[in-house]
Amino acid sequence: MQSEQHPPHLEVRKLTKMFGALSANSDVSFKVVRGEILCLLGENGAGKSTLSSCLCGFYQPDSGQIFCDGVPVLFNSPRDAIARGIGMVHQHFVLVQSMTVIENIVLGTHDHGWALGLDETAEKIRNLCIHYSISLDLYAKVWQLSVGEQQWVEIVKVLFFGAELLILDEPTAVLTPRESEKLFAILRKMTTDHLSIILISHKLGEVLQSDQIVVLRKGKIVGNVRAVDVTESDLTSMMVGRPIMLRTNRKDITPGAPMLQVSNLTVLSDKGQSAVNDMSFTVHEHEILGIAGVSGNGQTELFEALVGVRDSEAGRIQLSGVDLTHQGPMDVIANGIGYIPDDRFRSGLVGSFSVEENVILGLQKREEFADGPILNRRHIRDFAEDAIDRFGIVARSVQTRTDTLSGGNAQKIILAREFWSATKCILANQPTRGLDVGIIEYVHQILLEKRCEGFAIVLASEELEDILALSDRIAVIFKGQIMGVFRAGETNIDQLGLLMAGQMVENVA
Amino acid sequence: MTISDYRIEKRADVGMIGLFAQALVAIALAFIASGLLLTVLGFDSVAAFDALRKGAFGTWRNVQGSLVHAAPLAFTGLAVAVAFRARIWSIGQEGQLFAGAMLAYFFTTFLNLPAIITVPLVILAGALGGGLIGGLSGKLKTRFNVDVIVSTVMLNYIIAYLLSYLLTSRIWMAPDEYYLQTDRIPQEARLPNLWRGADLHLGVALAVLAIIVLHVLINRTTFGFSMRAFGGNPVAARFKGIEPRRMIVIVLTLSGALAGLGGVVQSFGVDFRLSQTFLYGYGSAGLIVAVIAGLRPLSIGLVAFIFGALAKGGLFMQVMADVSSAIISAMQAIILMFFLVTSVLFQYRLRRVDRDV
Repeated sequence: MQSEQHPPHLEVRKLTKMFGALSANSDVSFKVVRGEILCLLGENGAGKSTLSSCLCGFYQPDSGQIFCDGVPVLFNSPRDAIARGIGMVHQHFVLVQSMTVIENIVLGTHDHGWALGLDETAEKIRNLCIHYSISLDLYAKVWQLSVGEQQWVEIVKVLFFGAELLILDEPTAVLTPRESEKLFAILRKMTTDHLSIILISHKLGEVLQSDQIVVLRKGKIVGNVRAVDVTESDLTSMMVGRPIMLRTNRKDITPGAPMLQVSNLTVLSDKGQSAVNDMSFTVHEHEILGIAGVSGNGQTELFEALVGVRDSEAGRIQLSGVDLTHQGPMDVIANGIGYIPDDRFRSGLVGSFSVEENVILGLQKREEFADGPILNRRHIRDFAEDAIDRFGIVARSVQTRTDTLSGGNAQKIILAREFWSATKCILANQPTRGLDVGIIEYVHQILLEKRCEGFAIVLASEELEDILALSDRIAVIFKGQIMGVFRAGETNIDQLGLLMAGQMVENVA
Repeated sequence: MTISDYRIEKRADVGMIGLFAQALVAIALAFIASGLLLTVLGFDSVAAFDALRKGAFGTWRNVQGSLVHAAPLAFTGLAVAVAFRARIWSIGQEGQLFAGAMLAYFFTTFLNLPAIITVPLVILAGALGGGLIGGLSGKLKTRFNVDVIVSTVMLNYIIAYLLSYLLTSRIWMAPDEYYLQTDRIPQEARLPNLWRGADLHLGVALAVLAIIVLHVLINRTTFGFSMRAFGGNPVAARFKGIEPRRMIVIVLTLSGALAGLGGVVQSFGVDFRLSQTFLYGYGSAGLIVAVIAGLRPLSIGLVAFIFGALAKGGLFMQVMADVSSAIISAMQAIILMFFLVTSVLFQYRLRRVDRDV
């Protein structure tokens, strides 16, 4: 047989990983053939991230074996794995924000001795970038890059280290449709160079672009199929264990009075250039305004200005007649605006805080949670336990540290908090980024419920499907300006896609 | 066939028992290492440690002495904890301690009031002196973005040299004084003893009070919550309405006030004079105390007491076993090192793994 002449690039046999009594992976076995894209598919907590962490040496499996080109290997650290040519691109990037791209790439290498030797390295990295047509400014500081660009840095870093098997954890979570296409083209080019890819994802469309699909549920493999043999609905029912409907039933409600009014708003970016340029829009009661756009076109700055952490240069922000221009976050929150940030562990949560502390973050002075200057610990605990119940947050107790939770559960803490404190308006920036189908369905439902209750909702998403499914009106943002506003149902993905790329279209409503 | 081997893995949570065990192991190891050091230096380490124990805990009077030594360390330890819990790296406790004692002393040079007014005034002046210096570092950070480490270290020097100037220029020195020290602090400004015949003075009670207040402040109040949120993630804190500039200035002022109180407690409760050498080293010792105590106020009380006992016992050891009390500074550093090492080690555990072959 052919497989005996060429052992698989990577083989996992009966791998089991326990966390206390909880088995994150049990008895997992599969093979990756060289030059193939294998996709690990599964819901949140299905064990995808744990499995990949075992493969890249971040965790050590409790039992089972890993073979690399037929040779049994034991990784005690990611360093061992990279020495074997296995490199991982994590979902939460591990880059030093204040350093340049090239410094970050060179940082992990061991062969630079005392001097960094940046020039020769720059040459090598540039060649890598040219080979795979990745455009990257090597001398930009990481904090200046968009999340999508930071991911390219991680990928180039892993390639530069000489990885032959790349493990990518939810790589398209931070990319636009266009960028995702580009990523897949590059991944395909890598496989023709005899590199192998393990892709972690739950987006069915892209899962089907891989060669082999391994479906995980509750730590076990429930399916191992070739992509050509299955359909999207086969995969969902394997993954969730039941058929799922992402089509939301959006009731027809006539929007009410204007709630959030933004007029001629101009906001500067960190670099001092105008990121939001003379922007005006209005959101009414019972209305969801979708903001479609490629990340880095001013969405972050717009939301930061609306929540009060970034001062505006010009223009006005009003919430049902109250002027919130130049107001800080405290006033914005007090006026009934809730914010669901795109980068939850950066701007939404304190990782070292417990669930109960994060669920009242920013609300600690409210009379429900404090008697004067003293925290009312019983009320906080009751509130947190109630939030855990209502939002189905999976945590051992209200005292569990938040940074040990999965992205979906962390997001639910934010939802619980913001939906409690907000009374008029919800600002949601990429609320489903990095979450899996079950939770996306949940987030959609809850946004629609709030719409029924009379909230004005601003929803930015790179997932055009989300925008089309939820919004009453859709605004397309490009380079800090609104290219056009459409009624839902009077537009389609193609038209929005063109506008997102900056092309003007006739018939703007 | 099954093969067992052992694997090191990270613990999810060390827990309170783990922390306590870690403290015991660290202190035990530190004593063994210090014993070796004493032996190498040619001393009888058993006799020396026995003298140390007697000096620190031998009599009630000695225990009181240990507590008196612990008081300023508790204050500087708390000062470090407040700043570090907010992840503001102030190492200006030494300068703030000096500043507190100096401002308090300044008032005694011209005020002539009964003790019932002077003592509270002196205590307030200590907090004010330290707090102003701490607040200055905060302002330098928020206004001019001067690194807090840099500004606090610089201010340490500036204040120490200011005292040096006030002494050598004889502004604060009695005309017939030979040593570089101020005149004795008048009786009515000194911190009174807690009861007749006690060695414990008001400063020790203040230290206990400060420990309890800080414990409540950090863990139970809305301000403590905001402070810890700021320390944990300043970006998220800002999104949730915690203003970073305000937080930095408040935290550094509070931290400075605590260090300043430490200066008053030592100068007005024990030394009754100001001199550079009397107050030297409390800042760095406080840093060690706070780090060992994991920045928790109640633990700081305990660690400060251990360090106070070492200092008190060290003096006795010097007399009885002829061991230089400088060894005590070495021991404090050795304890810190073992603490840091064990705190990393205790995050892991050894587990037996059975493997089928």
